[in-house]
Amino acid sequence: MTGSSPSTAASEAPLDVQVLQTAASLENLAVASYKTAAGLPFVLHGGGELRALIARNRAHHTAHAQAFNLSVRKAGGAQQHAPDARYAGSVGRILAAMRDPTSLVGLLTELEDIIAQTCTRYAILAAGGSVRVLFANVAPVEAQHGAELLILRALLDDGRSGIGGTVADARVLPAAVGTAGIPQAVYPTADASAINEGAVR
Amino acid sequence: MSGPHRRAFTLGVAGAGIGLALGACGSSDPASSPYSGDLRTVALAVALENQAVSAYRAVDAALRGGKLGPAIPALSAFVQAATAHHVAHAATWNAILRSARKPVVTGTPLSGNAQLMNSIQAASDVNELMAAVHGMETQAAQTHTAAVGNLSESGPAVTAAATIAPVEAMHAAALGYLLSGKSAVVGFIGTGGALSTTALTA
Repeated sequence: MTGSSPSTAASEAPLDVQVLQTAASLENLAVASYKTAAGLPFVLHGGGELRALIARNRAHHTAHAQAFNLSVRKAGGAQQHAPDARYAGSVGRILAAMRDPTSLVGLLTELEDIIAQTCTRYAILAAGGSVRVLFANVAPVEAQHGAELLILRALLDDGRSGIGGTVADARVLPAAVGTAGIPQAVYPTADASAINEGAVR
Repeated sequence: MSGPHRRAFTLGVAGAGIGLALGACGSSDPASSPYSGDLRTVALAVALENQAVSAYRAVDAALRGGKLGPAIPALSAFVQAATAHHVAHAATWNAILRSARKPVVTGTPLSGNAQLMNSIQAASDVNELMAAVHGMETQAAQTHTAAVGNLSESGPAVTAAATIAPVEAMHAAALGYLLSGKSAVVGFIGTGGALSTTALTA
């Protein structure tokens, strides 16, 4: 997934307002992307595990967007209800052309990783205690979404539609599925969005 | 984690054999502890990471022992990878202590450690075994998340907490999903189950 960096000059809003607006814009993008994903024919008529993750993750991102917008209002800034402009166009085009669960799970994993990296970075950068705590609370959840999607992707790559759910099912899983959801020891931040990427202009 | 903080940690880890070390024994009285303020939070984090390494080694032994049935390759691979992550986390946190000229934590000086290890040893099936480490991972993720908000100074400790908490959370999510096929992820990671520094016995 690629996107264009914002070309306008950095907003003069306080740091916490900028990062909260950018985080809200990414959450809005996630909500819209999961909504589109839920309506894709191969999701509607496909495996229940993917459908369940899409519905649950969409609900979480809705809650995260609300939390960021509530926090930005407390910080004196305008709420951000638009999706992140850097990625919205390319994600929309990719979703429109999506034809199989494996590609969809790959795209959603990438989206979750960008949001997790961004929230992790902002937890380090944020000036205010409550804002820092909010980012620290959200980043691990996006990372968990990513972990589950990575496992599902490994299963799909192995020709399986789901994980089963019993110890007996787990015994026949390839070893690679066991590590698919935990790819790194330290969560990266190199792909975090710029602080003003989703700033309200 | 990137940038100068990470490089500083790596340099610190290279000197791991130098200096003092605190193991499982120690006073539970914070007044006599070498750790105070933010460094007490860091010491607690090391103890949690060391505990995770010990717990996963016990889990690995149980899985290999045959008492819990045939091998589970995916679970064994998970255990190996998670163990390596926690070893790396402990080194990162200990490097912060070392750079502050405080003794590193090499043991598991935690008030609840014996209870956790007992529950692993007593597990009669795989689900019981993994429930113990799932709870441990969730507690670690929440404790590091709480640290991001509680640490008074920005710097390496905040960076460590912010970049390690998501990994512990991923461990918990992956473990739960692998064994149940259902997601137990909730909307916010929360800090209700976070350990307080009063649980540190060093």
